[in-house]
Amino acid sequence: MPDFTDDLKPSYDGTAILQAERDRSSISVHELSKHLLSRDGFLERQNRIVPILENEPLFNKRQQLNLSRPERYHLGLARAKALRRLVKKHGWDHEDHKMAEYLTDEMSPYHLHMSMFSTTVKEQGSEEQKKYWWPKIESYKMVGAYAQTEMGHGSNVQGLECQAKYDVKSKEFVIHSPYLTASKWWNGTLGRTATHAIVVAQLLLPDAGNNGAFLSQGPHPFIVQIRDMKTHMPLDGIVVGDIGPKYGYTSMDNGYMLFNNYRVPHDALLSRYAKVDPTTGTFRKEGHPAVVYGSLTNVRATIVMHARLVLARAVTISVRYTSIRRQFKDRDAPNDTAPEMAVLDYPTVQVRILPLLATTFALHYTGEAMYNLYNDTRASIDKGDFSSIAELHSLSSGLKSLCTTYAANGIETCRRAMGGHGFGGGSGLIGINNDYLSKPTVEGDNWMITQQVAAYLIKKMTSAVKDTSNAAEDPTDELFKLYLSDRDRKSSADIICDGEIANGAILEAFRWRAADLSYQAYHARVVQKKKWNSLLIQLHKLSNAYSEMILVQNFAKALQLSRLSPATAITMTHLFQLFSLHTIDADARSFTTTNAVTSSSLDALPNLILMLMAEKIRPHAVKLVDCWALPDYILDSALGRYDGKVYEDLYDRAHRRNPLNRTTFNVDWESDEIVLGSGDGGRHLLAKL
Amino acid sequence: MYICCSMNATSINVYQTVKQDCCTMSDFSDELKPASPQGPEILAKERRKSHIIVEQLAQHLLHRGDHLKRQAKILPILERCPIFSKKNQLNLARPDRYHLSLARSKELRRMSLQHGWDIEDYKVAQFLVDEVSPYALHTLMFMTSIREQASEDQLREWMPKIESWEIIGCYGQTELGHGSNVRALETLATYNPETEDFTIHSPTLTAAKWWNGSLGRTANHAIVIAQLLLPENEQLKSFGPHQFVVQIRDIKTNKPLEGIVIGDIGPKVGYAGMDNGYMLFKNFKIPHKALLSKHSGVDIDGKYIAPQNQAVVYGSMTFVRASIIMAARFTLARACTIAVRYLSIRRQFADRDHGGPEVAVLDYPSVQVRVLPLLAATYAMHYTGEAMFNLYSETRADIEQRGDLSRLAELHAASSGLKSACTLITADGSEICRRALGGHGFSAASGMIPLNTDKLDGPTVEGDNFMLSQQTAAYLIKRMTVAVAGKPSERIDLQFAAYLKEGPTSNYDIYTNDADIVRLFKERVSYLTYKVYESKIVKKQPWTSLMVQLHRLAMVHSESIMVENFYKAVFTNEPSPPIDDTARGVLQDLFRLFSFTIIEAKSTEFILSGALKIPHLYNLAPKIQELLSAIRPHAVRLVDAWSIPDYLLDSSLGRHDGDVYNSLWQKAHLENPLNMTTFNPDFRTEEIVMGEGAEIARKRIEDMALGVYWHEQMLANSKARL
Repeated sequence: MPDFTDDLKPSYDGTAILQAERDRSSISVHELSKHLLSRDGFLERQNRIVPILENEPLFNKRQQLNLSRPERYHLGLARAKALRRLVKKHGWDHEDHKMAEYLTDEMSPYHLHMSMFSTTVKEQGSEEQKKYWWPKIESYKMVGAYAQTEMGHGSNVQGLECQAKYDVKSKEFVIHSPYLTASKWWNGTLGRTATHAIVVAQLLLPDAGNNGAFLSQGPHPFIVQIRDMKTHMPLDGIVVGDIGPKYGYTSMDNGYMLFNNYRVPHDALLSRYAKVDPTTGTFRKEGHPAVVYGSLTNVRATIVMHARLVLARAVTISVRYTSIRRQFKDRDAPNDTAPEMAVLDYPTVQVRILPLLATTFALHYTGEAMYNLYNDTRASIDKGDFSSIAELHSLSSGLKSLCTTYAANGIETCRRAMGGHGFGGGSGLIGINNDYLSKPTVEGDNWMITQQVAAYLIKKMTSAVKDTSNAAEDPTDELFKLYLSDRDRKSSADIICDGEIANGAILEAFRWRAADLSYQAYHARVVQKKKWNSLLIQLHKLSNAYSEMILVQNFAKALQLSRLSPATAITMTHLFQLFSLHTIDADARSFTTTNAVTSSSLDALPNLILMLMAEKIRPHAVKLVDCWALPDYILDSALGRYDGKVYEDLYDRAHRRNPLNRTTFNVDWESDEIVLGSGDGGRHLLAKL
Repeated sequence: MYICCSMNATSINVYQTVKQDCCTMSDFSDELKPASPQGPEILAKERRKSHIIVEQLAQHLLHRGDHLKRQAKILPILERCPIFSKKNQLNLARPDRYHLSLARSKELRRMSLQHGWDIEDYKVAQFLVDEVSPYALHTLMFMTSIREQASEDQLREWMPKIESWEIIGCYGQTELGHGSNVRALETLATYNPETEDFTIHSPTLTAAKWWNGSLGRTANHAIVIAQLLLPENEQLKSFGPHQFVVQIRDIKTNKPLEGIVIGDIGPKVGYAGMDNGYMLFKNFKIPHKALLSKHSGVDIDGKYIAPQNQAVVYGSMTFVRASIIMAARFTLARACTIAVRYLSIRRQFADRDHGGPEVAVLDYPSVQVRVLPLLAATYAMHYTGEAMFNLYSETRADIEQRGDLSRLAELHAASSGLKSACTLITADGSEICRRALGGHGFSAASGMIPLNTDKLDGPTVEGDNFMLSQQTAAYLIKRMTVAVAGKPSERIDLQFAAYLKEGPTSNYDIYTNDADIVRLFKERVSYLTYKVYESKIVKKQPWTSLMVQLHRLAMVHSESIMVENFYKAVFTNEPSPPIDDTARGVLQDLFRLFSFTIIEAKSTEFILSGALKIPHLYNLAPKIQELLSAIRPHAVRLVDAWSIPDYLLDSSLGRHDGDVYNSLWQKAHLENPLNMTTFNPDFRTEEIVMGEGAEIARKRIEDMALGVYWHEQMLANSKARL
C-alpha cells in the first residue's frame, strides 16, 4: 500500500560512499579475484550458476527466516529435488552441483548422499560392491546417509556401541543397539530422507578358541537399507527419526536410529580392506587404509577453503556497512559543523575487523598449499609410498582446528562490530552464524584433534634429539635440528628494526616459538614422563602455535611466488604483516617466554598494528572485500549489499516484507483474544504447544 | 479454524492430516536404557564428593530481594499453566512466537492480579518464563521515563492509566540511522506558539524509529525522543533531543493514527517473542503538554526552560547497570550449570596412559580450563553486582540527605566499564561453554539457544560496550590529571598519587599473599592510566587514535574492581550472609582462579607495567592447573548453589537429576513434530509429503519460499481492478 514513506530517502547516500571508497584504491579487483578464485574454475561456475538460481522462485531467500523449523525442512527437501533436476537440465557436473548448494547456503537433505555416503562406498567398497551400488547412487534411485556418531560417542569412534554380530549359520550380520546410548545420533539426511545408510558398527566375529564367544574387530562400515522404497516407512526392526531443532542446519534432517536384531546379508560389510570369510567368520585385513587418511586431509583442505569464504562473507558485510554507517563527530573536531565519522574509521572497529580481513587471505594460501600437498602425497601413495601421510594428517588436524575457530569467532566479532543492526535479520549473519557454529565440533572436535598434532611433534622432536647428525628428512625435522643446534641462544628476533617491519624476522620468530614449544612438550612428556592428560592444555597451545607458523609461512611463500601487479602486491604484504603481528600481539606471552621475539619489538607492536590498519589497509578495505566476489544472492544482507543501499533495503524488509505486519493484534490484557476481531480466545496457541 | 497467515495455516494443515508414523506408537526402544554408569548415579556421586552446603551457599548468593522464596512460590504456578510450556517453542515460526508471547504476557498480568504479586514477583516470573515480553517496555522504560521526567501535572494525568495498564507504552529513542549518538537523532519536534502544539516529523528514511521494543505490534503510546526545535528570531533553533509522550495507535482498532507509519522490523537474532518496531511521522501534531517537563521545558510562548541538574538520572542509570551485571551473572551461571552437570556425566575415551573405563569429560584439564574459570567469573560478577547495588544505595543517600554528589562520577564511570566487561564475559563465556559440550551442545536440547540468541544483545544495548568504555577511561584520565597536579580528592586519586610517588613495585607475591593480587591489579590500572594520560594530556594525541587503549584501560579498571570486590567478599571473617569455612575455602580458590586466568591472558600488560617479572609467569600455568583440580570436586555443588530450576534451564544436558540421555531421546523421538510426517525423497517428483501430490506440493512450497505479501496482494488487486 502506498504511503508517505515511499518518498523518503536516507540522510546520506550509501551508493555514493561505496563508490568513493572504490575510487580511492588502486587495487584491481578483477586481477585479485582471479588470483584467489581460479581453482577448479570457481569464479566461472559462480557467474554461470547465480543467475539460474535467482530465476527460480523456490530459491528465493527472502522469507526463510520467518519459517518454522519443520517448514524449513519441507523447503529444503523441495530445493534439493529442484537442484537435482537443474543438474540434469543444465548438464551440471559434480562441482557445479556443489557450487549451487553452496550458493543456496543451506544444508541440503541430500547432502550426505552426495558426500560421505558415496565417498565411503567408493573408498571402502570392494569392486563387486561398487559395481552393484554405484549406478543406484549416481542416479539417486536411493538416497544414502552416513551413520557413525552415536548418542553416547562422537570423538571416541572406538567406543561406538552399535554391534554387527556375524551369524555363521545364516551368513548374515545381526545389527543391534544394546543401549539407548547406542542410538545413531546427529547423522545428516537420516532423519526423514534417506532410504539407505552406511552404518558404522563394532564388527563382532566368533572367537575360534572360545565356543559361543565373540571378539570385536573394532568399528566397520556396513551398507544397509533402512526404509521401504515405496512407503518410505522404516523397515521392521529399525526406529529412525529426526532429532529436532538445533542451532543451524534448519533444513537438514539430522537423525537418530536404533536397531533391534536387524539382519543384513554378508555382503553388507564394505570389504575393500576388511574381509570376513563367509563360512568360518574369520577376519582378514587387505591393503592399506592409509588412503582414507589421505582423503580426510582433502576434506580438511576443503574445510579451510570453506572457512575462508565464510569469514570473507562476514568481513565483506561488516567492511561495507561500517564504511557507510556514520556515528559521532570526531571528538577533537574543530567545529560543530563537522560531519559524523564513518564507523570503520574508528581504531576500535578496525582492530576487530581488519585483522579478520587479513585472516581470510592467510587461510586462502594455506588451503591452497594443503590441496597441493594432498595431490603430491596422493601421487606417492598411488606408488605405494605412505611415508608422508603422517605429516600430512597431523598438519591438517591442527589447521582444521585453528581455521574453523578463527572463522566461527570471526563471524561473531564482525556481527558485534556492526552495533544494533548486526543483531537484525538484515545483517545476513544469522544463518551463517548458526550454521557455522557446528564447525569447531564436527569432523574432529577442535580441542580433541590438536592432540594428534602435538603427538606427532613430540615424536619428531624425540627423534631429532636422538639423532642430530643425519640430514633432515622433512621440513619439521629440519626446523627441529636447527633449533636444537642453537637452543641456548641468547638473542631473539627483532621483528621491528628502526621502525621497519622485518618480514624475515617474523618468520623466524614463529618458527622458533613452534620449535621451542615442541621441545617443552617433548621434555614434559618424554623426559619428565608427565601424564598425557595433565599436558592437554599445553598440547593444545602447541598445536595452535605450530599451525600459526604454517599459516604465516604459506602466506609469505605465496607472496614471493605470486605475479600480482606491484600496487596489489604491496597491499598483500601489508596484510601479511597485519596477520602476523596481530597474531604475535594476541599471544605475546608465548613469544616472550620462548625467547622468540625481543621485548622491545613487543612494546612497539600495538602502535605499529594501528598504523598498518589505518594507513595501509583501511583505504583499500572495500576493494579487498570486493575481491572475494561474493554475490548479493549469497550475502543476503541489507548491510553488505554491493550497491550500498543499506537503509532502503532494511526498510523494505521491515515495512514491505514482514508478514507479522499483516496482522493487527488485541493488546488489551483483560481479553483472551490475540488477533483483533478473531474472537479466538488464544486457543489456537494451545494447539501448537 | 483460526488463520494467522495463509502460509502457516497450510503447513499446520499438513501436520494435522498426515498419518503419524512413530510418535504415539510404542516400539522396542521403550525398553532400552543408556549404557552404564547412569547419569543420576553419577551426579549423586559428584554431590557426595563435596561438603559444600548448597542451601547455605544459595542463601548467601541469592538473599537480595528474597529471590529464592519468590522463585519457589512462582515456579509451580507457571509449570501448571500449559501456555508456559516451553517444549515446542523452538519449532514455531517467528510470527507465531509473537502470538504466543503476547498471550503469555496477558496471562502473566492476570496472574499478578490473581495472586497479588508485587513488581519483584512479576520480574521473577518473567525471568523464569525466559522470554522478552511484548509488554516489557511498558513496565520498564516507558513507566520509568514518565516517573523520572514528567512534571507533577503530567504524573497525575498518566500514572493511573499506566499502572492500570489501560494504555500500553513503549520507548522510541534509537533510529535507523542513529543508536549510540543520541544527540544526532533525526526526528524533529517543532513548536508552534500560535497553535500551542508540537509537530513531530521524520525528514528522512534514516529518521525512522528502529529496534524499539513493544512498538511493532503492541504499544498504543510511546515516549518519542525528538530534536526540540523552537522559533527564535524568525528561525528554528535546536535544543537537542527531548522526550514526548505520544499516542500512536487507536485504542479500539489498534491501528496507527493518521500521519504515522509503524510496524515490526522482522526476524533477528533472538527476541522472537518481542515486536521490535519502526515508526515514521508525517507532520504529526501533539499538544504542548506532551513534552515531559520535570527537568526542562518550553513555556507556552515557546521559550526554553533549561534543566537544573541531571545527576539523579545518572544515578538510576547506575541501578540499571547493576541489574545488567546481576542478569549477566545468572546467564553465565546457566551456561556453567549445563556444562558442569553434563560434562561430569559424559564419558569419552579411556585414559591414554592407564586405560580403564572412559574418563568423565570434565576431568580433562583442557575442558576444565575452559569451563571452571567461567564458573569463577559467575561469582566474581556476583560480588561486584552486590557492591554496585550497595554503592548505589549509599550514593543515593548521600545525594538525598546531604546533597553530596561527590561519589556520583566514580560510580558512573565504574558502572560503564563494568557493564561492558561483564556482558562481554557472559556473551563469550556462554559460547565457550557451548563448544565445550561437543556435538550435543549444538542441539536445541542443550538449552543453550536462548543464551546465544536472546542474551547476545548484552554487549550492544544500553550503551555499546566499545562506546561506553570511553566514559570510564575519560574519568580515569581526569583523575590522573588531578593526581599529577597534586590535589587528590577522590578515592582513586590517592592510588594514583601513591603510584606517581613510588613508581612500580615488583615484589608482589601473588602465589602466597592473596592481598597482593588485588594490589597487582590496581598497579596495572595506575600504569595504564598514566600511559594514556601521557598520550592524551602531555603529548596531546587525538582522542580517536587512542580508542583502542582507552577501551583496554576501561577493561583493566573493571577487572581490578571485580578482583577487589571478590577479595573483600571471601577473605572477610564474616561473609554476609554467613557461609561455613568449606565454602569459603572453595570461594577463595575461585577468586585465585579468576585472577590468575586474567593474569595469564593479559600477562604482557602486567609485565610492561613492571608489576610482574617474566620468571613470575613460569609458575602460572601449573598453579592454574592445580586450582582447577582443587575446584573440580566441588563443581557440581557450586553450580547447584545458583538454584536454577529445570524449568528455566530447559535443557536435557543440564537437568538437576542428570538423566541426560533419556531426556534427549524423549525430545527427539516423542516430541519432535517433524517425525509425524512421512516425506517423499524421490527427486523425480515434486511431491514433498508422501501422498499430497506434486501439484499441491509445488504451490505450497513456492508460497512458503516467496511469501505472498500483503503489499503485493494489494498491488495485484488494484491491477486486476484496472
